[in-house]
Amino acid sequence: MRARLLPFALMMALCSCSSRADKQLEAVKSARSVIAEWALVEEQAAAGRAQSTYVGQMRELAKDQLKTAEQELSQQPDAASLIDSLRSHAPDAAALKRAAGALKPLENSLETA
Amino acid sequence: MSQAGSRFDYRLLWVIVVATIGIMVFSEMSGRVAAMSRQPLFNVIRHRLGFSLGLLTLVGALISTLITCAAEIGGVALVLQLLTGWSYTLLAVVATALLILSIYLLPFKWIERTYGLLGLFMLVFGAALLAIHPPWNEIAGGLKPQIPLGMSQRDLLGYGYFAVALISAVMFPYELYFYSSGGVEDGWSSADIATNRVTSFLGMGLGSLLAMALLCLSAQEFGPKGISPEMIGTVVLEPGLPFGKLGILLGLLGMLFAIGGAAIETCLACAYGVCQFFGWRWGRHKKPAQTPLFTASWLVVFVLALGIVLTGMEPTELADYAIVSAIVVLPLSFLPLLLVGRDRTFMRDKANGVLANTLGWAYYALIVVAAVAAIPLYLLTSGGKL
Amino acid sequence: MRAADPHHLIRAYRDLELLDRDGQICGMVDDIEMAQGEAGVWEMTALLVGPGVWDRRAPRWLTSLLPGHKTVRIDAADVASTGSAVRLMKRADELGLARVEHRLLRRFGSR
Repeated sequence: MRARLLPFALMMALCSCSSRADKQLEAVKSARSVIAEWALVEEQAAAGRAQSTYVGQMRELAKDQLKTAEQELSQQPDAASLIDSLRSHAPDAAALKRAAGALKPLENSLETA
Repeated sequence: MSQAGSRFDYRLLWVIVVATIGIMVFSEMSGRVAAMSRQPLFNVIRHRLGFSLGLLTLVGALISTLITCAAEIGGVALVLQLLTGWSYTLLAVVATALLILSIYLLPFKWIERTYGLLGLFMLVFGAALLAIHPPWNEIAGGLKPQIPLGMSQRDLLGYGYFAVALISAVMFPYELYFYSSGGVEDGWSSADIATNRVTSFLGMGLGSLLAMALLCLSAQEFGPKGISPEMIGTVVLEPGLPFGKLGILLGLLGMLFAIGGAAIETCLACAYGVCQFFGWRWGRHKKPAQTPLFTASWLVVFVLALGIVLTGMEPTELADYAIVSAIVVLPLSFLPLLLVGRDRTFMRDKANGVLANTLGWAYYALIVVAAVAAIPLYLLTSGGKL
Repeated sequence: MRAADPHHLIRAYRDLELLDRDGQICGMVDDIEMAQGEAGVWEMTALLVGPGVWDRRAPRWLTSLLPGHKTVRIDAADVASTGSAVRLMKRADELGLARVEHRLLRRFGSR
């Protein structure tokens, strides 16, 4: 009986390895990448090197992805507020790059936690 | 692929090479078994593993291939959304309907030609890699098997996860279900052994070259910008950065037809598995009405896959689940192939030689290790996101 | 077919594809009946096809997912040969095989 339960016990132990800090780390890494991707799209759009349909859709998709990250970072009010302001406005590439940089210290602190 | 490149530069290239050789070995073996025994892979699986273990393999294969099909339908819908600006949900339904009509109305040769030729737009990624003049010496360095030194424990686990994920992505079992079924249906015999070898090596090789180009582009263009692509649409910036609007358009079209063609393959692979296991008539060259249970099977697969997409799960998330579930099923799918491949009762003078046997069993050991490590690594790294 | 070891018979027939007289796929050999004759030699006496056999081949929790209870018994005399598939002497409908498929073929297509 014990032998049969062992694989399940191991799996439960592995599942519980994802702590709140890990979830927040995952959210901030995801947010930084999505913001950087969005910034790249805005750069290409400003240079006339991307179709308007593509750019419009990528903006909306980025905002959707950031909504999930914002919810995971509800315990980090500064980060959540930064993400919310990006989603509510039409930031350009420079503003997006600054925002991605501003989240870096949080990512570093969660990684070492 | 892109996430592996942006996070670990070129240091996982060697894994793609190793996995490609593996899929070439098993693909060639499955084609040879089909030619000599006139039996497709799932018949071989049932005969060698028996009813119970064979049924378990079938269920596992169906789950992983169905999730893969769903990820591909979601991917097609996303690409169409980026091209048209229409609703994702509507496009998922439209994409599924078009894929169903493709199989139902078009002769299979036309499906292969349409999706195959138009999928060649993906070559724009190869052209983009040449255009950005990457550091070829660093790329060459990435081809050497390595475990990079000085990585944190978190990065080491991430490296391990992406290595396993790349092995799974290159060696997806549905490719062999599809390939061996095609060989049987095309009436392959011992005279086609050479054709089988060329098709296996070239087909798998070219696909992997493209995968390596995607990884290198991501390492060069995304890594330095702190991008680990979270959105499928970001990937088309790889040809977009050097070629502008034309690069984005060709990249999107290439992805549309490559992913669409893959969705058809995965759907039919599911139907092949079910029909071959239970002894129902099957065949992509026959009219749908001549193979009613096969037709019903692939229709059900498309409907179920669409259902999964409509739950709102992201295609990238589905792709993660598909990759992990596929590697877990691999050992059971490939073992019967190895056993029949060396069996002279079926294979006569075309049984595995020393090289095929040695490589086959070596890769089998690698697959077993990867299968055991896959789920723990997925959980510990949160699917490579930590 | 006869063999000294019953496992050879099982290996030669069980879980192989069935092809009827016209070469059409008509099921899988789900189990076999054997009898031990003179001098201890085993002989295959019948093939068993259908979901009625599955319960003895796999755990209940797995087979409970699958529909159907019928078993079709094919006498050894109706078996032409075995190799990588088992070939039969008669057409599938004469032996009661692939009934669901034939019903659908009559409804939607040709044989």
